[in-house]
Amino acid sequence: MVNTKTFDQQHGRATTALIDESGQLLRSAPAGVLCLYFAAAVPFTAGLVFFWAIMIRSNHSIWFAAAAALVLSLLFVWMKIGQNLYCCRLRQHLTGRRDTVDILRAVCIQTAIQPTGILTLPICLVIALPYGWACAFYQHATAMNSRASDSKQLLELRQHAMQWPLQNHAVTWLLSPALTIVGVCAVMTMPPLMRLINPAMPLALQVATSMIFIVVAVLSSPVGMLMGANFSVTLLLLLSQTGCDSPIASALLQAGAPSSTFAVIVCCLAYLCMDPIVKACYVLRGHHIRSGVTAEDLHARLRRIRAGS
Amino acid sequence: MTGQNKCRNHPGRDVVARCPRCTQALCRECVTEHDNRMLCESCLRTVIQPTAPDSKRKNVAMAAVAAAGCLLVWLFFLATAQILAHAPAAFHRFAPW
Repeated sequence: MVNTKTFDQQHGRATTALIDESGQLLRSAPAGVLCLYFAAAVPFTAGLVFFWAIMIRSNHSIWFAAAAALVLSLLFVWMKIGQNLYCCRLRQHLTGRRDTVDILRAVCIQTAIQPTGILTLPICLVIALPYGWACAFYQHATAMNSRASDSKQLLELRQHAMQWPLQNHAVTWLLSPALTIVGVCAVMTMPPLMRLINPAMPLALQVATSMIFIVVAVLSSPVGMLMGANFSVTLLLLLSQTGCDSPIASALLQAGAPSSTFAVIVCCLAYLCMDPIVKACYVLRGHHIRSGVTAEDLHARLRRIRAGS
Repeated sequence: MTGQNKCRNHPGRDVVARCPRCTQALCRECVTEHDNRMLCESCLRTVIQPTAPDSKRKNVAMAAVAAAGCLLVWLFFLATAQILAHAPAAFHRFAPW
């Protein structure tokens, strides 16, 4: 029997084509859509930087930490709801269909699903193998339409996450900000951890192990680490201009070396640059998967032709 | 006998199906296929739309899961705060060697 399925039908569109298409989608979307994304994500990332900078000083009470964690968790929920609305707006722009968004339902669904990701994703990353599918599940959950029933929704999310694994893993490897964050964490924490375990470690071995961690981090997230390196250089140049005595410089540098707060700022900036594109990729991926069943892409094209005539 | 062969809503039309829920005789126009069954309009509405208590229970369950999600995030950030406060200073300074 001759296999009549094309490569696109079997494995999804090529990753580079999908990323290119998502870039075009973002460019053609109204500016308000991207503003919506940043209105949702910037408060959380700014809050995270402040939270980190304050919490690394050990002279605070448990009540203060609890209050700060509560504010940050509310900002996290706000970000996830905003990202869901951003994906809905992108999907509306893509299909040309003006679907109404049930905000209250979106709030409940996103607040119920997304928090599990902060525990599930690190566990999946440690096990390594299911990370791509788990990541796709949460990305599709952010991009989903909250109008369908709960059981149908979860079934559809699972199907979308399992579909076209080659494309999904390639997008995750190239653009996932989570891998960049893990890479930066590994580079920051592993050398002091090894020195803590073996204080008499020779300098040559320290240099070699550090280089190995840096290479592994770059290979696990090449685009994110390149972006992180660019932001690091820019921040260091800005800090050198302001002088080492300023309060900002003292928070970001410790004895002339970048502090963990510096790393958090770099990770947040990389996240804000990469995540809108990742979300657009998963909106498109969901659209392509659904189109195979409902011909949504043809309906969208017809709608566009009708609007043009 | 004639009454059983004619539609409940349209006495002039012949019966083509009987609703399995209400057992009413119906014409072609008055039945709809749902889940491999031919149902009348009122039974279809009952089947598709969840009853009010069901819907309310679902909303309460969803709100409870959402609250549990918020609690999970809060506990995660609280644990992060405690780890950050007690981590050695060497972990907060980028010194590869």
